[in-house]
Amino acid sequence: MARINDVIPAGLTAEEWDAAYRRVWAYLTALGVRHEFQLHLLVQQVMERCAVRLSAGPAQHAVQVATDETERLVLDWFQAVLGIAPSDVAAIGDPAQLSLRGRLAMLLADMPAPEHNGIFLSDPPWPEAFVRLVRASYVEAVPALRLGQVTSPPLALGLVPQLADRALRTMDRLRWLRVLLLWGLFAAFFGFVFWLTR
Amino acid sequence: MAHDPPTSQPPGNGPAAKGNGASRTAARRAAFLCVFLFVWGGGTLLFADFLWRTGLYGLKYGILALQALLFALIAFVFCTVLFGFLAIRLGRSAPEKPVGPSLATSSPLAPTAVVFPIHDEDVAGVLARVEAIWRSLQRTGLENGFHIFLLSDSLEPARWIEEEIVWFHVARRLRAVGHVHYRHRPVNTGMKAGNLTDFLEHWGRAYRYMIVLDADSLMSGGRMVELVRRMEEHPEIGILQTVPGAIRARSVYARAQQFVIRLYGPLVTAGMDFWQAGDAFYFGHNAIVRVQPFMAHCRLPRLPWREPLGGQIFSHDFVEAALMRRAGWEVRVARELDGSYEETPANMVESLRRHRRWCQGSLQHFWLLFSRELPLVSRTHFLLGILTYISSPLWLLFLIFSTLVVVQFKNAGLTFVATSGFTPLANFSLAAHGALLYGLCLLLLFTPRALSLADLLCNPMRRHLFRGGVRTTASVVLGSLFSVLEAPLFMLWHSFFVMAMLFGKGVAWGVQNRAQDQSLAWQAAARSHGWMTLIGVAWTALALAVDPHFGYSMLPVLAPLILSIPLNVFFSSVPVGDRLRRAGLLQTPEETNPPQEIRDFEAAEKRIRGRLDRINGNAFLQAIVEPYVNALHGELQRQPYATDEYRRPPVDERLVRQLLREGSGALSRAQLFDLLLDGAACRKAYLQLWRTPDAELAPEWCAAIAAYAPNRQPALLRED
Repeated sequence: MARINDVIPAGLTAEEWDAAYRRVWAYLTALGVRHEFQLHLLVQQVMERCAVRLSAGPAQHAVQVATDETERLVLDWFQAVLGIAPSDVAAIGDPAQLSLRGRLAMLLADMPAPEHNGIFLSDPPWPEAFVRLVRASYVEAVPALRLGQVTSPPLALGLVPQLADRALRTMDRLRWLRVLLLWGLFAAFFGFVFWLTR
Repeated sequence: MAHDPPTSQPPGNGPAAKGNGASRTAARRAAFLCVFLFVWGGGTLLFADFLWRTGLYGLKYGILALQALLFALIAFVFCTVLFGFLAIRLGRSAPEKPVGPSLATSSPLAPTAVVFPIHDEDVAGVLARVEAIWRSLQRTGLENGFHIFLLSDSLEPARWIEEEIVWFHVARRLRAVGHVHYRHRPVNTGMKAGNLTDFLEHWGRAYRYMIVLDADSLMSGGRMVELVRRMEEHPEIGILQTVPGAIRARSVYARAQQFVIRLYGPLVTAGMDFWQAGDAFYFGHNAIVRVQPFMAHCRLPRLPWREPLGGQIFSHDFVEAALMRRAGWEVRVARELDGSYEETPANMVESLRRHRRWCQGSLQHFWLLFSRELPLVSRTHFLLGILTYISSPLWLLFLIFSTLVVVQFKNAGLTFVATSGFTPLANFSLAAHGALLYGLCLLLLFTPRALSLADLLCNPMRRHLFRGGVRTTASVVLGSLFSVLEAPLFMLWHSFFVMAMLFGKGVAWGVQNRAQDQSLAWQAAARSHGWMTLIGVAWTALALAVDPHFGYSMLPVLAPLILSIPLNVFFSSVPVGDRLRRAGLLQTPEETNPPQEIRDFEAAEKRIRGRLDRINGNAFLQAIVEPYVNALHGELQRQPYATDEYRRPPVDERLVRQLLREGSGALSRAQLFDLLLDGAACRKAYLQLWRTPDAELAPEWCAAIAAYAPNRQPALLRED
């Protein structure tokens, strides 16, 4: 068995390499790769690519490089399964957008459902039914818009609300008047109670 | 079936109730008014005479005025139930244009949207209802005519993500992704009414009908189909309201409410229906609405002045019904239709939160009382709503004045001398007069319950569903006792709400706690009702000091105030509620014989809660760390709806870095919300998170990533 230090690219500590390894493992698990042997193979593949990139000198953290390599592996697979031509990939521009589209297609095709397990991130050829399903899937959270307006003819509230509105707005403007009226009301109420209790 | 072309004008000429129908309705209203005036006038006269016999002066005028107002409300309820009882027993409950059973037909239905406006609600509960409704619709075989919309106004980031996760899970599970829709509105303009308006302005034209449900509503598919068919058969109806039965109550308070609604509801509704005819009320949920006239006539006006007394309308339903009536469309109640349900608040504190909103909404309707453009019956509804809340401070004032009269009398040191009454023929003694008044009040207060019970006892099927006559009678007695104990508490609370509103203290559109399995803790009860205990103790001490007899006579009102804290704990008790259920007390037909929809709902709710339990920590984190949740959320932000005026500028990348470095707790709720609104930022955050070493991540992210160990995959979206 090879010594650990033989596997780790020069300039990296075992902890850094281990962190990258665990991150790739977690990411592939999060994506839904369930079979452990497949996970091992994929992680190994990614880590080999990672080692090649880092052998030139660790310009980036191993976790970053390892995740980028994993994402590249995943994007390449999405592109192939979804049948997106390289020119269209360039048109999409943002790799995050392709990643989202791919994940969404997998989700809608119920990936990785048990019957599809093992297909995800595997080499072609893939079952035709699976490819059809993945390419046809889309989310329709809402139906097509049918724009319109909710309206109502103006409603005349009558004279009392009009006058009350004007009076209340006047009181809003003239705070002293409001305070005066409030105290006046209090005084009137207690005066009334006093009168009643005589 | 002939489908009328969609139109915003009612069929025929103007208001639908015309000709023979109108005269019948007028006769019914006249009959109701006569009986009401007789009961009200008789009772008030009797009381006035009682006061006159001991000297009518000062404070007693105030008492008489208050009594006259309050007695009007009691008399109105009494007459409503009396007419409801007679209408049901004499088989004349149906108005002149019966909204009777529709033709059984399997023809396709007009396109109908079933809408759930939600605002930070319990996600499992809402989606379980969606699932139960869809399954019920599937059983009718006519589900293709319906689209269910979850119209989310949720502001809590974690809740928003939970909604997306569970919506996708349920829609996929039901194979109804094109039929069960989810829309999140980032700005809550106009509250619930604004949410519905927003829906109508985006998709309303695609549907002829809209069935409006609340977050706690449930309706059987068969009833939905029935509602659509009735609307097709009665093109003059703009809104058809069902009478929802209360379900799933567990605490003592909720069970009592549930029982009251289920037992007394039919008589009250029949009584209202007797004189309302096509001018009925609209609760704002569990009803079907004809979309086009609603869109053409029901935009809510802005009230004069400002909130809370004016400005934006808080309680939209009664106003929408009035606007529909103004345009000539009927608003009716399909009271004989079962299969429509809602839930009641679990305890008094939750109930009071709801009442405070209703109080604000009802008092705002004051401005509409003077509009001659609105039908008189609609304005009567507004007035009844206002009186429901205003009556509490009036009762309080009545009791205060009564206390003052006794104090005044005692201080004066006069001897009690009664003159003869206004009816020399009867020649009552003062004691007999008082007993007669007391008896009349009791009669009016308890006759509705007695009539409801009598109606039940006359109907063997209903009697069986309520677990028999003996248990129902015992339940009525128990429910009445609870009402007597609750009434003074509600009186003080409503008085507080009214005064707070008059002094400009309104309430916000808050989140409701609809959980049915939580008892109220002693501390919470003490916090909310401690002040009431103090008032009760002080008032009782005063009353007893002035006159022990008067003090004892006030005990039915004052004792519940003194005991308000233990009463609240008792009423909210789930174990006691469960024991009552096991004893067959306060039992409702839905408990005796649970419909399939309720069983489906409960199974779905349990399953969905299990799925939500899989969420590792805050659901917001899943939108960033979980590849498929992130993809789904990102995609939902790209939906056509999200491209309109609700769009916001992209979030600053520094915010994403801060989120990853310091964790979600370092960002405000508004910042998290803005981040979720920006689909591109969420995608970037996702990639950035997975590329960042643990040392540079907040502990919550490290924990979220570490959760993806082999065989521990939190399959939030995928089927097991």
